Amino acid sequence: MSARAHTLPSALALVLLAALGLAACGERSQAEAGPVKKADSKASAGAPHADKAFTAAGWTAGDDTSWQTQIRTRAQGQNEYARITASPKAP
Amino acid sequence: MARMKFICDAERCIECNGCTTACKAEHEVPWGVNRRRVITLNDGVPGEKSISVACMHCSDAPCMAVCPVDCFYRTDEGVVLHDKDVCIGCGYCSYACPFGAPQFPSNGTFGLRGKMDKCTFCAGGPEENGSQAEFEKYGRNRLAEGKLPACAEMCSTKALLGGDGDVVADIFRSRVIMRGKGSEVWGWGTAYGKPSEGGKS
Repeated sequence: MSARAHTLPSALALVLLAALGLAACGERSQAEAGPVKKADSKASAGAPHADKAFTAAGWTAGDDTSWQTQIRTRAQGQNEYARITASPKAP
Repeated sequence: MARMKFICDAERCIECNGCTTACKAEHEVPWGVNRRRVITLNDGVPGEKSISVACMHCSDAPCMAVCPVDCFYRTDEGVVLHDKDVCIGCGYCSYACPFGAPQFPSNGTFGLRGKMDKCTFCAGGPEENGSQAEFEKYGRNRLAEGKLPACAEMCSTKALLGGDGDVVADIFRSRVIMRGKGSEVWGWGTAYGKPSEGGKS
């Protein structure tokens, strides 16, 4: 076989290899594609845009501890045993 | 503060659907979505039991695990919320949820799904607290106003308790004791026992 016949397939192979190796260069990063979820503010920060008339009294917006106390106190409003005295049912 | 939780006392639930109505009205929930539903077992049979079901705000939420665009997040109080601007409406969270909490509005022709909607524990969403944008997408943010979820506060028999997990568990435990039951009740140790004995903190 002639020298030319030897070099042609190996040159083709080289070109194909190079094309394969460089194929990823045209790809766009998928990390930047699509929206990312927004950061949320804490509930204890209050609702500055809401009507003040609808905000419960007795706590300070921005104060985490006062908000937690307010929530816990309000949750006890669901417990009528905190307001009435009743004897437990006999088993 | 403990995680925010709901407990529905099946002994007290009378299937009035006050919770369902309160939620629907408070958040102007779109057509086709029922964030909260009352399920009745043995309906019509004496001794039927009803229970109010909505998002359980799971610690290890399957909806969050399967979302392909990662639109879910959990607040410091354990409330599971999502960003509707990121949601692609694939419906995968709806398949994953064992409680049927993520739902899709009846929107447009060809059964277009639209954005997922679910119970937010009245904690709104990632928009500014109390803003019009937050109300339009997620409903009222009652937690930011120092209130508890509308469903729990509107419950006529106080069957549905909502709030700090420790507080509601305590209230429910005192009810069980008032009914003359105690530690012999199935699941007591798991619910109220010490962490070393299987109780969950």
